[in-house]
Order: sequence, then structure tokens, then C-alpha cells
Amino acid sequence: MPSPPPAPRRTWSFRRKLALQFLLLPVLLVSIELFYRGWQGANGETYRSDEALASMQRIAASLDGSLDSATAEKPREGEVSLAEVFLHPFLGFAPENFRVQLASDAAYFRRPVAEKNYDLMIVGGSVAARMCQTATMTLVESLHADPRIGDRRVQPIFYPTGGYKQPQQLNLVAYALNLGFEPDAVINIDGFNELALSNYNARHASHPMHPSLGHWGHLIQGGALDRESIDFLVGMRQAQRGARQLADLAQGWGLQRSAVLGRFALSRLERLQEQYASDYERYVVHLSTTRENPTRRGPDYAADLKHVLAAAVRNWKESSRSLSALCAARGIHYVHALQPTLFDEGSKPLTEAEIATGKAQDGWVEAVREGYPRLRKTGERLRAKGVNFVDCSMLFADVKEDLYVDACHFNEAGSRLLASEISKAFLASMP
Amino acid sequence: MSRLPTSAPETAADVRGRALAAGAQRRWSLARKLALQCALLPALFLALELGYRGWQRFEGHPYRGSEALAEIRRVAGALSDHLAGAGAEHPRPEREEPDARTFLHPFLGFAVEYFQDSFAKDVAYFESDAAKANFDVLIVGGSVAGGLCENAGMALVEGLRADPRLRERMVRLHMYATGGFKQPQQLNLVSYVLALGMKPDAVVEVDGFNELALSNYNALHGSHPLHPSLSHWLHLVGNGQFDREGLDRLIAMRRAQRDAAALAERTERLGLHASAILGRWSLSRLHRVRRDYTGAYQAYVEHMASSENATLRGPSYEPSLENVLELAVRNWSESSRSLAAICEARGIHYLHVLQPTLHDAGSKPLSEAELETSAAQDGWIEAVRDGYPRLREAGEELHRQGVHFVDASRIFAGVREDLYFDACHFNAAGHALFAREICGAFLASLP
Repeated sequence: MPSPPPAPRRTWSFRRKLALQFLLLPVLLVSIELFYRGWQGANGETYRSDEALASMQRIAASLDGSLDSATAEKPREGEVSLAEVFLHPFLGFAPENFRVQLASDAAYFRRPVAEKNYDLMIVGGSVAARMCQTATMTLVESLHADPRIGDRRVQPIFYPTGGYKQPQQLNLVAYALNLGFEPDAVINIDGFNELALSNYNARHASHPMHPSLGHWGHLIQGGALDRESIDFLVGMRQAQRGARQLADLAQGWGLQRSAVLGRFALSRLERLQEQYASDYERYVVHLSTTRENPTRRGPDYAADLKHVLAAAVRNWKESSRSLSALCAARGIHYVHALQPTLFDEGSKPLTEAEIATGKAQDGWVEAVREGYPRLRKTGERLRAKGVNFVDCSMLFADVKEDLYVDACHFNEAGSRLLASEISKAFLASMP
Repeated sequence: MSRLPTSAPETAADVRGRALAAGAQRRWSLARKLALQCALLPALFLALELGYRGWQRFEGHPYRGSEALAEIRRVAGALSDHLAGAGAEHPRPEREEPDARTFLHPFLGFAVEYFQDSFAKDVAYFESDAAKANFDVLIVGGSVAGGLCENAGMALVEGLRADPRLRERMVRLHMYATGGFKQPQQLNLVSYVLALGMKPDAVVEVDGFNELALSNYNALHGSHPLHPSLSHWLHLVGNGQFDREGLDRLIAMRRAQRDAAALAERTERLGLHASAILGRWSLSRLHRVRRDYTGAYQAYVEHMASSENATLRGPSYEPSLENVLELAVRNWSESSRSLAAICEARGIHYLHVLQPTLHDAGSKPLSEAELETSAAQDGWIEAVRDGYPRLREAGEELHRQGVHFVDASRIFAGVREDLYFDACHFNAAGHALFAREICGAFLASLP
């Protein structure tokens, strides 16, 4: 009897196979995710989704804030954008919100409440701006605790601006006084920009004392763009838009929760940041080499590091002397703080993360390394001349935790440390 | 056969006819007539010239060729320099004039191009030993301060050197006064040059008119009163506003500028200024061209100012005259306080001088010629009339606060001669008086 034919092998239909693939896909992704996390962990680089999201937003925000009024995004509702800068007759450039802020603060000083309050004006660059954003309470509370201020409300009048360097702070305070401001105190936080951006200027055919070319150069070109300029601007704009879209997409879809997708988004953002920086650098070089512009060039100067630093340090010192004098003439308490910075040797034991994010152009690095010791020495001379100068440059010398988020800016913990140090010096020098 | 003439008795009519024929032969040809006309033309012109000069002298305005030429150069020069960087003529090298074109400056709003060289040279000078031995005076202000240096710089230097405290030192003036400057441009300029490395022994600030008149002009045209003078600065920041209307105005301005330059050059080359008639004619044409220019510029400013430009507008403000003057006077006063403080911190002697000005009521008995040339925009006049008494008052307050302030606004009050040649600028005699006053105040306050 013939054996019965073997039962036909039960083969899965194409649909079932497809369904299985779909079911297995998440498992595969989870396996990859787990494997990647395990591998990262083994390499000592534990992935944290909140950090990844913060980095994505930081990169997108820094690109948003980089290109000036011509191409920057309009601030969204309820959001203050530092990107909108315009040409200012006495400050070189100023953020768009200054127009409203100056008018409303001038109006505030005409009201009786201003006389009752203790009005604290803060000027400086982006480090000062971050401190105002993240550590205002530290500063205000410690001032409030002092019996000399007592019942008076400490009213912050904040004017720090990314990219500002002397004499912009000096001119800003003088201009505000002319508009009718009557602050009780002025704090000026500076140091890094006065060296790094002055050297950057000098290397790009612009006087070291001029406003930062990277922040200002675009505003003085008069809109006469050649093809190459347009190409660079288009490249920067594409990077800017791409970064903002990617960061929003990642946040909207929660991509940061996955180590694989989060890292992918982050690395794509970093590439866009590099593309932007490269186009921007080439654009500035293009502008500085193709047009003889007296506005950008300024008076003749020696472009070697030694002379540039001499000019930068003198500008820093003389501007502070002038600020101190015009405050003293009005009974305004003035404090000048030298901010810490990453490339100042011995100023902080750097963590791996700080080393990884602490990249900067050679011109910045050499200016800080050579210049910071001179600022410290000159600061001593300022103090000898009666200026309330406080050297905060070694404030992080013993801090082993992450404080820097890039070559010069601090995280919240760093800003709090700086605010606390400044408030101590402020109260110690207060009459 | 030839016909023989027949003889007939001569009548009276024949005699008259022959005489007429002879006379017709003696009549001048057209060429001779023309030649005579040409020969007579210079005589006629000379007669006209002499008649015109006589009449002018009789009227009390004797014509002087050198003065007319100077006036032609001044008007054409002012027009040429007026339109900023983009439009101004390059200086003619044979005259060795400094380059007065303006450019956008990050801390001063605008600056004249030769400042670039002056800054670099002066910084180098202040590093030299000579600078330590000399007495260096930095002069800042607007065009009146500029005129003072040009017309009475030597008188100022000699006046200072006559003092025993300065006799042994060479007095050197560093001229940074700039047409159209108003506070806080002078304040920013001084703090800028100090940060550059200049170390003057003294700073003299001469101001008043621009701080009121140009602030009010700004406010009337939608720009903040503290901003740099709109008419000096706008062109440098108004890029991108080259629509048809803007371009039309610019073309009209450039045409007027070129016409003025060509007219001045032709007058000088052909010596037309030597003739009272041709000199006056050239001058009147030049003034007509200037009027055309001013009209086009005014329209251009209004057109540009109508655009929504954050740079031009500045912070919001209340544009009533009362409020504008309050802002302008505070700006003037606070800038001087700051300048005094900055100088004092470095041991620099600071003197602040309030300049006299024509429309300040009671400041001078105006001559006919002064009245004739004193025309100015209403905005300037109302700002000066209402503002100068406030500046005097604020000046007294500055004085009480320890600022070396000198009110020179009334120094022409007893002078009947011509001193002003327009609404705010003086001639050489005016500057001599002004320099004497400044010198006296400077030495009186010098420690």
C-alpha cells in the first residue's frame, strides 16, 4: 500500500510573513537600542535622553541666534529672540528688543517707584546674559539680604548682549544715562569677548576695538550682495532652518528617548552646525577680502597677536576706567567682574565632556591664553586706581564637575557660582 | 559805331543824386560794422562793470573778487561734501584738502574719512616722548568748533602759550570737531580715542546749536532726538531704500552736486570772479543749484525717513517740541557730566563751551547782511529760541556740579558788525572773539 503522500508543508502566506516582519521590527529596534546602549555604557558614555534633547535645542537655538536680522527667524509668541539685531549709531549693533526696552526703562525711571527700588543694571556679553537668565535670583536674593538695601526691591535692568565687548558696554551705559536712566548700581561682566573677538576682528581686516565682525559685519554691507555672498547666506540659512526643523521634529516625536535615534538626530544637528560655521567663516573671509570698507576696517593697526592684545587690553582697561568715572560722578555703585573662561590655563580642571565641546578657533584660543594673564594684571592696576574690579577668572579652579557647555559659556551651575561671587564682591565694595 | 554821350545841362536833381551815390559808396560794410561792435563790446562791458561796481559800492556792498571766489568755493565744497560716502566727490589732489567724505562709524554714527588717518597718527604721536613734553588739546564739537580751529586756531594756541603755566610747552591742537556732530557723539569720540591710547592734557567741547536744532529736525522726521543728525547720517544707513522715488531724488542731488562743482571750476579757471557781474552771476547760479540740491535732499530725507527702519527710528519718544527739548537738554547736560568725569579720572582739564547762535533772541543785534542770510528751517529756529535759555540754565547746574562750563552764548550781544554768514556759522572776526573768550575761560579754570 503506497504510503500516503506527505502532508504538504504548511507554508506561511505572504501576508503572514509580512505581518511577522512588522511584529519583529519593534523587537529588532529594541534589540538594537539595547545593544547600542549596552555598548555605549561599556565605553563609559551612558546615554541620557534629557541631555540629548537639551543639546539638540541648544544647537538649534545657537544657530537661530547667529545670523542677524536679514535672515533670522522671527521670535515665536512669548519668546524673546536675540537674533534680531540692527545697526545702532553708538553701539555698533543692538538686539531689536533694545528699542522697546530702552523706551520702557526710561519711562520706568520717570516714575516715583524707581526712586524707591534698588535698580541694578547689568552689562556685558553672552556670559553675562546667561547669568541674568539663569541666576538672577541668586544675585537678587543675596543683595536683598544685605541691610544696606533692606526693604528696597532689587529691580534688575539687564542689558547684556551676545557678542558685546568694550567700548559697547561703556557706550550703552552712557547712552542710557543720557536717556534718563538713574540706576543705583552697574555691573559689567566681560573679558573673553574683549580678547577673542578682538583677535578675530584683527585677523579679518577689522580694527580690534570695532564691534565683533561676526556679529556686525553683515549689517554694514549695505545689502549689495554678490553671487558668492548669496551662496554663503543661502547655505547658512538652510543649515539654520534644517537645525530648527530637526530639533522640533525630534522633540515632537520624542526621538531623544531612543539612544539610536537621539544620537542620529544629534549627529545630524552637529553636521548642520558645522556646515553653518564653515559657511559663516567663509562668508566673513569673503567680505573682509573683497571690499575695502572704511566702516569695517577702522584706523590702521598692527595685526600681530602682541599688538592686537595690547590694543584689546588697553581698550578693556580704559573703557572700565571711563565707566567707573561716569558712575562715580552720579553716585552709582560700579563693579567690574572678569569672567572665567575655558581656555585660560589653570582656571578649571576640564571634564571629558567639557573637552569634547570646548573647541574653538585658534584665534580665540591664543588670545585667551596670552591675554587673560594680562587682564588679571591690568585688573590689579584698575583696582589701584579705585575701580571696583573683581577677578572671577579662577572661580572654577577647583570645580571638577561639568560647567562649560562650549568654549566659553557655562551651564546653570556655573552661572550660579559666578552670580554668587559677584554679589559677594558687590556687597564688599558697596559704600 | 559807338554811341557818343550826349551832353545836356545838369539839373539840381542830378547833383543830389550824384552826391547820394557817392555817399552810398562810403557807407560801412557789414564786416566793418561788426568789427566796430566787437571793439565797442569790451568798452560797453567795462562801462557796465564800472556802473555795477559803483552801484554796489553806493549800496554799501562793494564787490571783492577774492571774497566771491571764496564764497563760490565754500558753497561748492559744502555741496560736494554733503552727500555721504556714496556720492561725494573725491578731493582734488592739487588742493591737498583732507578727505571730508563720511562713513558709517560703529560708535560715532558717522565720521569723516580722514579721521581714520588722524586716529592712527595721533595714537602713534601719543606714544612718543614729544607728546609728554607738549600740551595737547583735543577740540570736539560740530562745525562751529571746526570753524574755530580753522579760523582762530593760532589765536587759541598763542593765547594759551601766553600763560606762564604753558609758556615752556608747545601747545598742540588735535582737531576732531565734525560738521553735524552733536552729543553723545563728542562723548563717544573722547572715550573712544582714550581707549585707543590718546592722552590729551585738555579737552575743549564746543556745542549747543546742533544739540537743539538737529535733535528737533530728527524728531520732526521720525528719528530719535539723541540719534546722530538724520541729514548727515541717514544716507549711510538707508541702503535698500532705492526705489524709484529714492533714486529720482538721488539723481537730482548728484546732478546738482556735479553742476555746482563744474560751475565753481569754470568760474575759477576762466577767472570770472574778477568781474563783479560775472562773479555775482556765477554765485547766484550756484545758490540756485544749492537750492535745487537742498530741495531734493529734503525730499530724499523725508522719503527715507518714512521707511520703517529700526536703525533710524531708535527708541519710541513723544515728538512734541516740549518733550524733544527736554530730551535734547538732558542729553547735552548728561553727556557733559560724563565727559567731565572721564577727563577728571585721568587728570585731563575739561572745558565745556556753549556757543553763540543767531536765532537765540537777544544774543546779537543783527546786521542787514546777517538778516539776509539767516534763513533756516522752522524746526531749527523754534528749537534754538526755546532751547537756548534751557541750556543756559542747565549749564549753570553743570557749573554747580563742578563741571568747567562757560556760557559764551552772549559774547556777540554788543557787536553790530557782520559776524554770521548763515543761520549759525561765524566769519573770521566772530571766531577771533570766540577764541578770546574760550582762551580766557580755559586759563581761568586751568589748575
